[in-house]
Amino acid sequence: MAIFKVFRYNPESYEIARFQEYEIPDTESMTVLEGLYYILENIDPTLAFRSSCREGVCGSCAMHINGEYRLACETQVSDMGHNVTIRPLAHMKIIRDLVVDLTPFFDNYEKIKPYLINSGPVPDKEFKQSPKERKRIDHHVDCILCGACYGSCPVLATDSAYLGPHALLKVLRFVDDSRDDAAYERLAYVATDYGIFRCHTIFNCQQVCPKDLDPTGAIGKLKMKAVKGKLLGKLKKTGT
Amino acid sequence: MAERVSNQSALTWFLQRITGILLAFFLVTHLNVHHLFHDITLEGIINFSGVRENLQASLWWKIYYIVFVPFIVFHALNGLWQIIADFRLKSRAAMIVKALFWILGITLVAVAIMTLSNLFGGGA
Repeated sequence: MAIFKVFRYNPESYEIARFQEYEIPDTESMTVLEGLYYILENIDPTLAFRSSCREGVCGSCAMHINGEYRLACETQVSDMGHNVTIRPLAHMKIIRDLVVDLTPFFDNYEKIKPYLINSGPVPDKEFKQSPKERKRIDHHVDCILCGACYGSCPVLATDSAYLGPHALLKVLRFVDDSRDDAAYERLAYVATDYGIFRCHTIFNCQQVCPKDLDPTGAIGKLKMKAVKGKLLGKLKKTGT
Repeated sequence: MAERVSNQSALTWFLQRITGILLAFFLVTHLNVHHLFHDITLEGIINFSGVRENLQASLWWKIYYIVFVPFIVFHALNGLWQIIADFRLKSRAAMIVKALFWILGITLVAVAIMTLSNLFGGGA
C-alpha cells in the first residue's frame, strides 16, 4: 500500500493549488506512472498528467517525485517508500495538475538550431562518419528532452532567458558532430551571458538526468571551446 | 541563431579564472610579507610605518602591487556582476550597472595606483 500525495491545480477554476492524497492498495512492481494511471482509472478521473511510451524513451512523464526530478515510468513505487509526493516540473507555467507548458523549454531548444548544418555539396548517398567520429557524440544523442534538467536548474528559476542545460547539451552534440560545419557559429551563439556563461556548474542537471547524461560537463566543454575560439579570433558576432 | 550577440563573456569568464588563480598566489605572498614571516608590528600592533618600510624595501613590491590591484578589482567587480546578472536585469538597467562598475573599477584602480605611488615615493 502507498499514499500518493499529488499536486493539484487548475488555473481555470478558482481553487488554490493543493496536494491531494490517494491511497493505492497494491503497489508491488508498480511504477509511479502506473500508480497515477491507477488513480486516474479508479479514483479520480480529473487528474491530469503527461505520458506516452511508458518505457523511458519519450520523456513525457518527467516530474518531481519525492524531492527529485525523475521519469515516473522508470521509478518504482517500492523504491520511494510508502509515501510518494509528486509535483510538476518547475520553472514553467502549470496548465493543469502535473502538466506544464513546455513552450519556453522547446523555444530555447529551437534557438540553438537542433539539426545538422552543412554548407558542402550534398553527397549521393549520405554524409559519412567513421565509428570513431560517431563515438564522440554517442553520449549526447541520448537526450530524450524530458525537461528534468530544466526543472532542476536553479539558474532558470530567476532567468528564463538562459538557454538551459537541455539546449546546451545539444549544442555540444552538434559542435562535436563531424558532419556539422557550423561549430563556431553555434559557439558564438551560446558564448554569452545568457548561454554557457550563465551556468554556475551546480550539477543539478547532471544529478537528475534519467539517461545519465552530463549537461554540466557538456557546458564546461563548450566554455573551453568558446574561450579557445575567442582567443583564436574565430568567434565572431552572429546574426544580422 | 538570428539575434546579434556579443561574445565578450568568453573573455571575461576566462579572465575571471586567470585572475582567480593569480589572486591565490597574491594572497599567499601578501600574507607572507605582511603577516606571517615579517615583523611589521610596533609593540605587537600592526602599524602603517611598519607596512611602508616593508614595502619600500624593494622596487619589486611596487610593481607587484600595481600589477595586482587591477586584477583584484576586475575579479571582484566581475564576480559581483555575475551575481547581479542572475536576476535578469532589463537591458537598460544592465547597461547602467555595467557602466557604473566600469567607472567604479577605473576609479578604484586609479586611487590605488596613486596611493601606492605616494607610498613608494616616500610620501604619505
